[in-house]
Amino acid sequence: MDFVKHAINVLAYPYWSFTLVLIAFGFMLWSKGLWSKRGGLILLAAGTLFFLVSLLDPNFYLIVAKADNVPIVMMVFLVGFFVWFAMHKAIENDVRVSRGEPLFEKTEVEDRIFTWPDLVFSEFICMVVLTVVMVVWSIALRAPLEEPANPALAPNPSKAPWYFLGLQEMLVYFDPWLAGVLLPGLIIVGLMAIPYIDTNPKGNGYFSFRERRVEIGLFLFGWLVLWSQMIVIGTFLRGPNWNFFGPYEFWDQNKVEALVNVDLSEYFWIKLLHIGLPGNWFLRELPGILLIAFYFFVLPVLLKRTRWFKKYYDKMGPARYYVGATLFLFMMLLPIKMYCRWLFNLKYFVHVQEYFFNI
Amino acid sequence: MSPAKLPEKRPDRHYNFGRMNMVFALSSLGLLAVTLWMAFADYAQPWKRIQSEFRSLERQKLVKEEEAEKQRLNQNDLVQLKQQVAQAQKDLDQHHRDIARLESEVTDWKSKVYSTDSAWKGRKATADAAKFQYDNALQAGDKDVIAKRSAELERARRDLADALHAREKAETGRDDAQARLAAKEAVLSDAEKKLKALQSGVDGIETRIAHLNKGVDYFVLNAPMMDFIQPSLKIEQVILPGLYQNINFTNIDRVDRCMTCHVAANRPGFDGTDWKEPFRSHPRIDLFVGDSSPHPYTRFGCTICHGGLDRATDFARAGHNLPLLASNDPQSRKQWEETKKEWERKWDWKQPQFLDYPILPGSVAESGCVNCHASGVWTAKSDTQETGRELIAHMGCYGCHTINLPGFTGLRKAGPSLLRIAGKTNPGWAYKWIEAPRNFHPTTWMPHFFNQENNTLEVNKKRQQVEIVALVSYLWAKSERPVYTDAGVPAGDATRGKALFETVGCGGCHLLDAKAKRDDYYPVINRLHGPNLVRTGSKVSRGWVYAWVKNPKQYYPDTNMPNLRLTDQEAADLTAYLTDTPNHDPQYENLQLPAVDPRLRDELAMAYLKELYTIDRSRAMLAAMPEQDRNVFLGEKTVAKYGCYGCHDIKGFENLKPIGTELTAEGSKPLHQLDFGHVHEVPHTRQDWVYNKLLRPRMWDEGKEAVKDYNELLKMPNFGMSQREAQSVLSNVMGFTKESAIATRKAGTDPRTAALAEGRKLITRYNCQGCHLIEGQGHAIKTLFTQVLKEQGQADPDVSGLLPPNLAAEGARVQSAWLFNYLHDPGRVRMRPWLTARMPTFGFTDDKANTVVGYFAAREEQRPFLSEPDAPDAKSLAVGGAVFSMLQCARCHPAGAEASAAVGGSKGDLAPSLLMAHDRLRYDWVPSWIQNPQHWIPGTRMPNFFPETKPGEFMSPVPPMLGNPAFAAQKQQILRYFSSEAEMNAYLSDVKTVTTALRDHIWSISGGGRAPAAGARGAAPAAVPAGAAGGR
Repeated sequence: MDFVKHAINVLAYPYWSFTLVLIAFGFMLWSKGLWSKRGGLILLAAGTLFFLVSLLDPNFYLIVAKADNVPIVMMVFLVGFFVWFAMHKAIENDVRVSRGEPLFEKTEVEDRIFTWPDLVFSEFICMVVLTVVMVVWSIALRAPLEEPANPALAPNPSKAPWYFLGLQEMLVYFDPWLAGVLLPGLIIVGLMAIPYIDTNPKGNGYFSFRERRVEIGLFLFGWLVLWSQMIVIGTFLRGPNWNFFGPYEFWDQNKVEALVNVDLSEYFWIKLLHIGLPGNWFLRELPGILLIAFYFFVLPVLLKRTRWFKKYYDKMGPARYYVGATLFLFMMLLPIKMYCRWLFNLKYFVHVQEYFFNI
Repeated sequence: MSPAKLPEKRPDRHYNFGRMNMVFALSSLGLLAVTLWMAFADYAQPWKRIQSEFRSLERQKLVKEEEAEKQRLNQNDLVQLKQQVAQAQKDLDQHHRDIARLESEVTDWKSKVYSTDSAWKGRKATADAAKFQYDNALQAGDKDVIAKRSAELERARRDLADALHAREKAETGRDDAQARLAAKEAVLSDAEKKLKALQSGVDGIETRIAHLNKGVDYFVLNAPMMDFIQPSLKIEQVILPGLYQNINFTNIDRVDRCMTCHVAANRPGFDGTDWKEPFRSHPRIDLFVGDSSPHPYTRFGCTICHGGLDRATDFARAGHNLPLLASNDPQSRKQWEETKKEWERKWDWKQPQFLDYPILPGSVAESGCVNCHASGVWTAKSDTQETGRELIAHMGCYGCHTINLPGFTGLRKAGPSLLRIAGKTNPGWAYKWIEAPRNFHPTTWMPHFFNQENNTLEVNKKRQQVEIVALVSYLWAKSERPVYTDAGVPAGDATRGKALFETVGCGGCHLLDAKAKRDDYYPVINRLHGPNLVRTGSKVSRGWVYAWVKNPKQYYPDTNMPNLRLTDQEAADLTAYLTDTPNHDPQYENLQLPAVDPRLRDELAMAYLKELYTIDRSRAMLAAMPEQDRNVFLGEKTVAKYGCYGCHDIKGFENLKPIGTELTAEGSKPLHQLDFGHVHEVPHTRQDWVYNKLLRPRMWDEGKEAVKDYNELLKMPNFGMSQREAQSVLSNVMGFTKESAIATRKAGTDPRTAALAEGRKLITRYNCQGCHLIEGQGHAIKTLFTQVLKEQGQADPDVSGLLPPNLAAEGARVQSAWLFNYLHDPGRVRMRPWLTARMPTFGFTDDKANTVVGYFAAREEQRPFLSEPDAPDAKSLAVGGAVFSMLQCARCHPAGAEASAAVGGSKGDLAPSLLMAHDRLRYDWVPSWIQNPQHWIPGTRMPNFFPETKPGEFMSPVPPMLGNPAFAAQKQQILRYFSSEAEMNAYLSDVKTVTTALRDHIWSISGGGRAPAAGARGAAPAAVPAGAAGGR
């Protein structure tokens, strides 16, 4: 048992878990069996079993049973359920379409139904039931209020509200102005821009996967891999001093991790060219600046020439393509940076500490 | 659409509405149910249950009390009184007609008074108006009108006078009639009053029981939704302006709600085994919480001392903490776990995590005292905390840990000076001593630095040996080398030495007992003040001991050890007792420093060198050092490492800062700054950290010895504290908090308090309480005297006559100048020659003597000096002389120092010679002392001649005594000064006059020299030069 726990602890470390999640994500998009009812039940049973057995571990229990973290445990199961549900329906429709049968949405309702009473009444019942659940929850699990906060004595770890923990996790890899300002801003802008970029009318009003493979895949990558997973990591696996702890590890205040991160400029000037860092910051950071410029300004153009991206360029036109590609590249910046950090101890691509400008 | 029934499933509906309605109905019922549950959960606060339970318990208690009271009444003449009432009622009934007539008469008169009074009021108004009209007419000047108005006014005034007369007559009549009625009824009301007084106890209890009944009104008033009106279950709170709760960047007044659950805290009578928390009275209700205590609830609340969240009304949120857990005691763990389980079950308790000051466990509750009485005020009544203060002084905690509080600054280093150690003992002994001091002196304050729980690796054990050898090498290399030879010591007799040791006062500070344990002496630790002298012969030479007991200061000028003014023979006897064979231990003799691994020594030395120099240079420097220098070098670094200089004077370490963490605000230290290491079985609280640190100083290194560098390992030494000792120290440390009370609520920052604080430091340092009783504590030597007498065969010896004096009233009793001189040279006069214990010569500087004098004066709130009194008159002197002989004062106060034994009083009854009185005692104190000695010194042997008849009133025994033929001579002697016997008796009945006369007599016989010539009535006082009086 200890060995299993230890293995899980080790595998939970981001560089392993992120890679595993990527693989799982690929499998998820490929697999059909996963989205069948049986697959769903197996997933649910496996997840629940893992959770319940893990509760026997005191360290796991300590974190998961914290009143603050109960909603996030629920979230994990709810996210799983809704993803499964949507994919289940989508795949079902795909099968129907391939067989020439009508969509299942058509089988449920012939044409249209009335707002009153069908919609309003059922919504009202939902409201009542939800209120009951909330009241019971709030009585049974008292709000974990604490004493007046002491600004001179920040709790360790200091955590954002759970829905921001994904952002806080990004702070590990990026400068605050990026992780805290630019990227969250772009997430919102990007989500708002989706209807204008993705003008494909297929899939409107019914579940479908085959007709929108790439779009759904991209969205789920952002939502599951980059957002939900980061919240889970930030909630359950980040302990004192924002150090990483496996699910069965004790949150030791005194845990020490070697931080030996190096900037790209040092790789370039010292390790590659064997000369010291130039005194001029611009010269010093030029390699990083060029790299970033290449990433954002040249790469979309180059990608356009590949067969796959060309298809989209043709379909979307230059304006949509470039906006979409830029947003996509921003999204990919996060996993790229994470892997650079894990593989090369890369601190920053561009590190202009003179002006607090770091990428 | 008609309201007709919907079909089960209509074609234009998507859902089956029959089923939907059912779901809706069920969910609505569910909502109703959880809403009610919510209201109930909100209403059912735990404190309501507690208050309700207490109400029932208190009612039961009152019912019991009522029964007891009724029992008591039956024994009294209740029945008789009831008969009296009945008889009076019967008598009154017989006069029924009279009373009825009187009653109607009173009614008549009352109505008359009413009507005459209204008539008078009307006339008065008319008269006032007429006066106004007349005034106006005078201003207008019309003569006719003036005359008319004047006549009107005249008439009105006449009428008014008549009306007043009538009213007064009616009032007199009414009062008269009422008086007659009252007289008739008086018989009855007298009897009734008596009965009522007798029954008032029961009635009172019955009223209180009625208050506590749980009737309909109780349930209505406390029902949900009704309880906003006037509930009997309610939150009890007290607002405490000026006692702040710091909530970051601002202070808010505390609002203590503790008594919402601790309902009986400020009410006496809820103690004993019947009452459990939260229903108990405060255990020291005389000192705390009680309305008449110095710390009433309404002014101080609870949390300012106990900690906890003031506004909380929930057990867990209030910040209750479990009892301390001593990790080295399974019993303590068991108790802790039981309490924890109970609390979790009963109160849903969780460890308070976020409170700066959670409620401390009861065993360290006294730390609350330190908050305000920051060691400036001796809280003599608090055993735990006060003993802790002494323990800190003895163990020398302040040597390594700065404690910037008045009680712990300016103290001498706790241990002896090592500047001349080479003259005292030998390196081999020193090695073995440092290795494990308690093996040699079981009660020593010197802690164990080595062979602790984080020194278990073989290599670390060897490193320790290297370090001890280095320490000893350094000390001997730097020590002066005074020579003490045995040759000059006269031959002594150990038996006489033993007797001397047991009687002269050594035992106030020293033990000589190989089996003694420090904890056995808790909390009166005075006899542990100096070293336990067991095995002395193996530690020091005869020559050294002889020189030391003769004059300790020749070896160590700043020593606490006083000079007992021993003769050469006494010193020799004592030396023999301390150093002869029985007081030896062969294990500690002929010792050599062990050989150590030079490789390890060099490795340790290199570690220090590398901190200062480059690796190459360090190597070169080490290579250049001769063998012995390497030891000395490492020794110097090791002294610095362990902070030896915090307690000992060591050459080369004169001005170094202490090595430990500052403790001035340790009680406020955030929890995350306390390193619990890998230890999880100790609760992570501030108090448990400190407590276990005291019990097992190296505990937090558990599992880390192999990981840490040798010099990184925890260094705090092990004092071998018992749990009581650790709790005492902890009670202080937890009280070292940042300020939490405003100055006006803090105890004393005035000069008097400062004088007390400084004096107390000296009292602790010189261990005055080893022999004396001061502020109710001390007389530690009593245990020795008792033990000695027991060994001599007395079963239950009374040693009170042997004990050095109780200094309870010293400041009020003796003159400052006398005390000052006495402290400088106690040997010049033996005040109590019958005592075997001697007041030693401490060799105080003027500063110190002044501090002691100032302390006693401040203690009794006395001014330092008083002017010489006027000469007494001859009458007073004569009376004084006569009473002095009648009361046989000289029986215990021998008139001459040597006359003591001859007078025939037993040893225990003897008292200081009154020949010293004039120079020694305070003039204003003596009469008050004679009148009521117990007030000044509780338990004194001085008899009470003036019995206290009522509180504060005393009776003079002299007039009745003069009736006795035995005192005819005295009567004759004083009668001369009075014109009549009655006058004399009046004079002698006044306690004040008599005691003053006694004082005047004592003054005259003790060299006051101001007495007028005997018999010269009314003679002018003789002029005596001031200097002649004292003879000093």
